[in-house]
Amino acid sequence: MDAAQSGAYDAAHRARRGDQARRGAVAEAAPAPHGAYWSTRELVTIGVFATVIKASTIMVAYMGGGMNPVTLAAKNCLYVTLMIVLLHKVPRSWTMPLAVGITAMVSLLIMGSGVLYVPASIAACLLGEGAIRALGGYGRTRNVVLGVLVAEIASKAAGFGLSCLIMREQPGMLATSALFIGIGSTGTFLGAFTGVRFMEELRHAGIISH
Amino acid sequence: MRASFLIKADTTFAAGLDARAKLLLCVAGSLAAVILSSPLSLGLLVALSTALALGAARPATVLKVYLFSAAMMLFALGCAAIIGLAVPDLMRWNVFSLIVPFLRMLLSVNLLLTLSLSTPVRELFARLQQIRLPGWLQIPLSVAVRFIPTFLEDCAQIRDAARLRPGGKITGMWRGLAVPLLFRMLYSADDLAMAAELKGISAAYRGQRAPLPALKTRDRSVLALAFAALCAAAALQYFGPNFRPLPM
Repeated sequence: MDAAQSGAYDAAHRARRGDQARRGAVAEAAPAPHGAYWSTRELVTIGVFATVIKASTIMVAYMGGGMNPVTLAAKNCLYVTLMIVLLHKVPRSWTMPLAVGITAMVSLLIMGSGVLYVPASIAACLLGEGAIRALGGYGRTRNVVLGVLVAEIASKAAGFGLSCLIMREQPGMLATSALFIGIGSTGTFLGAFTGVRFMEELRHAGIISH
Repeated sequence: MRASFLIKADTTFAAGLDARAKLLLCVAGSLAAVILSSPLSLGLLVALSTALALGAARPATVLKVYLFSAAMMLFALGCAAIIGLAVPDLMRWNVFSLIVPFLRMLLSVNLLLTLSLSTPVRELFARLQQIRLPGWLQIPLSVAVRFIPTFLEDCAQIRDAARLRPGGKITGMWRGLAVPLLFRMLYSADDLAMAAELKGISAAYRGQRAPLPALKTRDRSVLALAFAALCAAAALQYFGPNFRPLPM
């Protein structure tokens, strides 16, 4: 396929999506041309956000110096905020699992331990996708925010389930684990608010129109 | 990308290495950072990876990264001290248990700097294409590595813009830092996407792929040296002195 032709198709595809979004009629984006599900622009945006999510959360975690409740909440808040913005910028099904997969690959290049959580994270993302679909798609901010929250809560529940399995002989450790998951969840809910505020700023600046 | 981040992309030692060798080094380094816990073995790997990073970036850039890491370490030290005072049972540490996470971070940062500052996105994309990764993985992965210098440049732009204001400082975390950083991120993503489209990079590309070239002698030598270093680090971990954490 000719590269210039592909660029023209992508531009036409974006223009069509822009028109549809302005009319407020479309929640789900139309498929990209030539059999590709995502356009180049969307894939680049997913790559950029995956990098920033991983780099910023690792940095915040390091700055906390270990089991720091403030940075734990801040890390979750950052993750949810950036995921909400990404899902508004690329409003397509499977964006969340792809972003999590790319984040895991970046994690493999930076710090290999993150790879262990990938299966649970992707399963949680699929639940989040299901929630967004059940609520009516990507057309409304409320649906996206709830979808991300469902994915995050499912991921934390899976983590807690794993902790229960591994530390069932030490109830004291389980209580500590539950406390830290609770603190992380506070950051997650705070992230939903900051995500919505970011969306207001982006709409005000005309960067996102739906 | 700002020119000062690079010495001369085509002439440095790291730029002469194949992208696959650098990716392998990154993966091996990140796994070693997770598995190893002795400061001596991590110190050995950090020293070698610093030499490699200096072969890709200017010493001033590497020094800036190290200063930033040191600032993060001091901040973490403060946080750990506060937590240790509040819940003594939670924090059992000595100086080594704080140094080890930062040696791990420096190892990963050195290797990532080497990869991102010395590998043109075109080469990385070509290699990922040659190993037959699907388009929807090639593009985000290439961008993820390429975006690190762009993000540093965005941060510098926001700092410069803040200096132009009357107070010469960032005014507020929300409107002064968080929102401009997100806007710059989205604009940079658009710029990178436009550059990719103009270069003919597309998720739908089905053209003929070039065969995967063999690794050069330089790549094989560096990989052999890395393997030897990993073995030496593992030996130091298991046969070297033991550093146990102490109560605070």
